[in-house]
Amino acid sequence: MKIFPYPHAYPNQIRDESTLLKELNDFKHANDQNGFFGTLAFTALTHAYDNWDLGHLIASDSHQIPLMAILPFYENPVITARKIVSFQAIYQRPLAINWISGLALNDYEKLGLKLTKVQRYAMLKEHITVVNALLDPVSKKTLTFEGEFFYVKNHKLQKNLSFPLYQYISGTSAECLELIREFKFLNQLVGGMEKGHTYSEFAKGAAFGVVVRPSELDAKKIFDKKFKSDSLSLSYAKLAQKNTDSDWKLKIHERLKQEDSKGNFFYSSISHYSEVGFVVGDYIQVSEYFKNLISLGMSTFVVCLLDCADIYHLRKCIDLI
Amino acid sequence: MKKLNIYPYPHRYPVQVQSTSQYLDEVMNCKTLNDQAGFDGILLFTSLDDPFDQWTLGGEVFRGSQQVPIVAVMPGWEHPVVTARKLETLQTIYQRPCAVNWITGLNLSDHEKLGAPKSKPVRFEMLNEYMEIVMRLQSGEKLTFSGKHYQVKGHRLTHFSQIQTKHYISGSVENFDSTLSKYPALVPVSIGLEKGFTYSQPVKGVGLGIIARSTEQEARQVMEMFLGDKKISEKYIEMSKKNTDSIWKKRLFDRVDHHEGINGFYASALKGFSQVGFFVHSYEACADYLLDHIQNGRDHFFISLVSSKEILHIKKVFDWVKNKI
Repeated sequence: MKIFPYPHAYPNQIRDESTLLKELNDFKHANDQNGFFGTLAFTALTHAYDNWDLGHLIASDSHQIPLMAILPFYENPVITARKIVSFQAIYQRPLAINWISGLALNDYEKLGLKLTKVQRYAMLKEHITVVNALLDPVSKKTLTFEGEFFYVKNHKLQKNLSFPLYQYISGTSAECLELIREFKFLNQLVGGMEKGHTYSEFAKGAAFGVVVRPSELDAKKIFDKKFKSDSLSLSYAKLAQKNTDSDWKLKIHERLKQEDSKGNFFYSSISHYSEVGFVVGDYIQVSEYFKNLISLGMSTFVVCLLDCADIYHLRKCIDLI
Repeated sequence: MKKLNIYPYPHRYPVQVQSTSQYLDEVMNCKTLNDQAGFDGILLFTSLDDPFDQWTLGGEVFRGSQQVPIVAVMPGWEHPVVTARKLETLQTIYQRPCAVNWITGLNLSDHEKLGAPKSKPVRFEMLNEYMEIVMRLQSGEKLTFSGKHYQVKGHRLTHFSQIQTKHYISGSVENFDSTLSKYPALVPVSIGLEKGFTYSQPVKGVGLGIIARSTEQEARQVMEMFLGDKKISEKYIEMSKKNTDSIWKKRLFDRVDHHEGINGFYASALKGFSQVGFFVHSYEACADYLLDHIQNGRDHFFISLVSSKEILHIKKVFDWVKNKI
């Protein structure tokens, strides 16, 4: 099992961004101490920090493997490929990457890109193709690639991968599934939903939040305290809904209109600056949630936590599995 | 006297003679020895022929040292909005300045490989737009920019390190007149040439290699150890000449015969070739060479080393410089 616990990131309107760096530092050490595989380094233009630099922060003085979110329009794929081999050479460990086509539509607009969802996935497909062709350990040839968005002529990296590269792709749309069918090395990451939800047959991992304590009541209290309703958070959620065409995000927003929670799974965090829903309960309840996903063939979990101290409780819960 | 900015960095030999891991070790040794010698930072290369990503190496230079990484940035590799955020992130994490060496690219093959414009005026145009976007975003502006090559619509960085990035620009700086006048903090850098050469541009920094020993003869012997086969070196230099439209690079190779030199100055052929010329002499003569630059207002030095162990000798050269001032 590969588990990537990471700190919940509030938007910069309501928190001092510099605290995130300290939290990431605390998380990486606590993740190491509790035997977790790695830590997520997320990315969007509204985030304060560069995702690759967060990746270095995570890897530095730890055994953690960063899960790097990569968007195709930030950099040329030749540069991405070289960053991956450079990272492995310096930190002497595997790396995990999470291919995304972008959650926030205004990220594209801000960089002067007017792309439909189909075009964004076409761009992502080219990016993935070029990166993997350059990293191919078998091919000794130089790469020439002529796409709609990227062009490479006669190039070969000077250095090869030294460790495994775990590749994930986040999404549930038809465009995303098409990529997964084509690139067998891509592992689909889905947004975790309530127990009983039907996921795609390709899903190999899920992202969701966890609040777990010895008693359900305590966990619920912590969740409620953190995710209090206020006018700012509600207006932020509305904005987030308008600013996305992510199938999963729209689905979870729709679900939230019908009910706040189902069983131990709470959608209400979505109205409070969260990208994911939360499973909230005691050790047994939350471990049952994990067991269900494992029984569906998933083995990677990207887990949003409210506080570094939650890592200890997550460990307890995972030990029950 | 103004503080000198001294950046010794390891020469990157072709992969045929130096493995990629040896180069990485050299950068790591250099950061430790530079710290001990009190030097300021390390220049990191960027071309598609380089094995490592310059930002990734930059992060590693920051880690566990007091060194400032000087990261070469050229347009076409990433979006300037990403570069601006990267600079603020690094400076926040490590709480000291990062330096950028703005370049339009030395190797024409790099542009060809990525399908980027090869035309020099277009590359200057791209770099001017790129620098402007990065500097305006770093200044805190909510930026809308509509250039020929880059667009930004209503974007503002959400976090600032409150630390001033050092900006250097290498090459024919007359192409950046407007940017230089808008951003006085931008430091123009040129390649160092033999003593007495008159620079036509308002240069404040120079890049060159130094091999210094107690006597010129000893220094020359060290250089001989690092020189490659003359024929192979000449082949590399010819290839390099064809693969560049850099005025100063051509000037370097045209002016100085790489095995003969002019008054201690050599267009080096270090087991292949170097991007800069080397001054090879006694500590005192090297100090005099640097003093000539200092007296002409050049106080940023990017010093290529044949080996990281040379830092001890570079320290002696600057001790001489101090004594002479």
